[in-house]
Amino acid sequence: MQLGTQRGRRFLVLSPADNVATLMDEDAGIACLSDGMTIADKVPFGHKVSLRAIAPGEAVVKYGISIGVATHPIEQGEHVHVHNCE
Amino acid sequence: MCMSITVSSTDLFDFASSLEWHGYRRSDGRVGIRNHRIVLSTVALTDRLAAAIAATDTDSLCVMGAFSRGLQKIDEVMVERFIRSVLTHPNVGAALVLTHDRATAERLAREIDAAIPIEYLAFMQCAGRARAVAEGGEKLQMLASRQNKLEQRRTMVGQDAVALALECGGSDVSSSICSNPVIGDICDLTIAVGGSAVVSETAEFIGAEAVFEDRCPDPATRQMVLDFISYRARLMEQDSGKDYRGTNPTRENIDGGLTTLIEKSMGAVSKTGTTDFVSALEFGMPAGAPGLHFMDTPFFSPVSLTGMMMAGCNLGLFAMGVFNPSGNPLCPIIKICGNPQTLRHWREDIDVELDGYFTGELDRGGAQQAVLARMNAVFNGAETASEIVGEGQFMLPRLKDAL
Repeated sequence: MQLGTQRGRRFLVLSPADNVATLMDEDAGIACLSDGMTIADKVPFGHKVSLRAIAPGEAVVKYGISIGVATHPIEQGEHVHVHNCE
Repeated sequence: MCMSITVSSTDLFDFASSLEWHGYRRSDGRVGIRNHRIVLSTVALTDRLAAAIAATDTDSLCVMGAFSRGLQKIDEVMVERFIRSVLTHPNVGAALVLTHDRATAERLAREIDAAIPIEYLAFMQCAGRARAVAEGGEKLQMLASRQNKLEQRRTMVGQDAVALALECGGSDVSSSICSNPVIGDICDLTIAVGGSAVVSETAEFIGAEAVFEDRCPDPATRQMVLDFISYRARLMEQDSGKDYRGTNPTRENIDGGLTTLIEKSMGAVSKTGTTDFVSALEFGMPAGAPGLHFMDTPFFSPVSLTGMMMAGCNLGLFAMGVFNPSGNPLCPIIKICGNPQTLRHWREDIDVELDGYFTGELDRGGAQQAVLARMNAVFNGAETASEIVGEGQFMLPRLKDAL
């Protein structure tokens, strides 16, 4: 579990196996995580960004389990939601 | 480089091993965290009498559920199960049982083998209401002196005496990523030290069937859980005429960031931690063994909490998102909340405040310790927020119409 506290957006990785992080703040204008990783801007509170590239058909992992599969190539830092995961 | 703060689970174990647990060890080996002298009303006809008798003894607790007569078999079994589970609940130290008629009192006295002092009173046998209240009051005093003679008192026990009820209510983003996962960590710890836990509200698990495929080593248990879930899914579809899976997550869930149904369900599942399920229980059945148990219940929390109390849970952990007042009078429920908006108005109803999790002031290790410290204090006698206000009730699921 990781909880960022520095400049950039606060985020939460619920399990070490996860390939997505959940955003913990409302600072949608900032395009990086508190650990410095560049992410898409305007990702709302409670939504997910990818921690690494995820290929189509690959599992999206949160809570340490597969919550869905990528339907399009997902780049590191991209917003992961219904448009690229099901 | 990641700037995150990570507190490893060894810190939680170290903290846990520094705590002492003091409970009431019953003669059957079970451990209570409360020593209630209860007035148990076995049918709605004796509910008002129970309240009047309990009012004569400030140390007593009234237990009633507006139970009907003329119930069909399955509902009748449920009431019987409730009476038995309450009289053998580890948090009960003595009981006055009220029935309407003498035959029921005699039958219960014959059939119930409990490890505590019990007295019975049949309302119809009394010479009027005033006499009934007086007689009940005398019996309560008798029970109190029998409890004194037995020297029921707290002694040092192990953390393995913790029997958790796992619950969430008013669920939102905060509970799915904060309170529930932290409760899951405490559940893992509890199981690791030999304790037990029960999770319920079957409908919450629709979509998360894969979790049970992975975490039920016993095929019969796995099948039972999956059958419970598919039964509830069918009920929902019959009632709404809609395919639950096809319409979930809802638009509101998607706006909140939830992408799939399993992701939504994982918010609730995460409070069970990572250990395997050892059994699947019908509503209100005793959990009996250490480990993590699944109980089939409706989703309304007063009902599911009643079911987990009946399983023998002596303590509950409740992840609150938006406000939900549910409690259980016999099984103290610790309310855990991370939602800053909820905390603004409802601090008096909340036992552990985790809003620091969202401002970055509290990491997961700190949140774990806050919950465990409160759980230890409540185990050892500190009142929960819902105990202070007398919140909570007993409710059974209704399965069939009464005759």
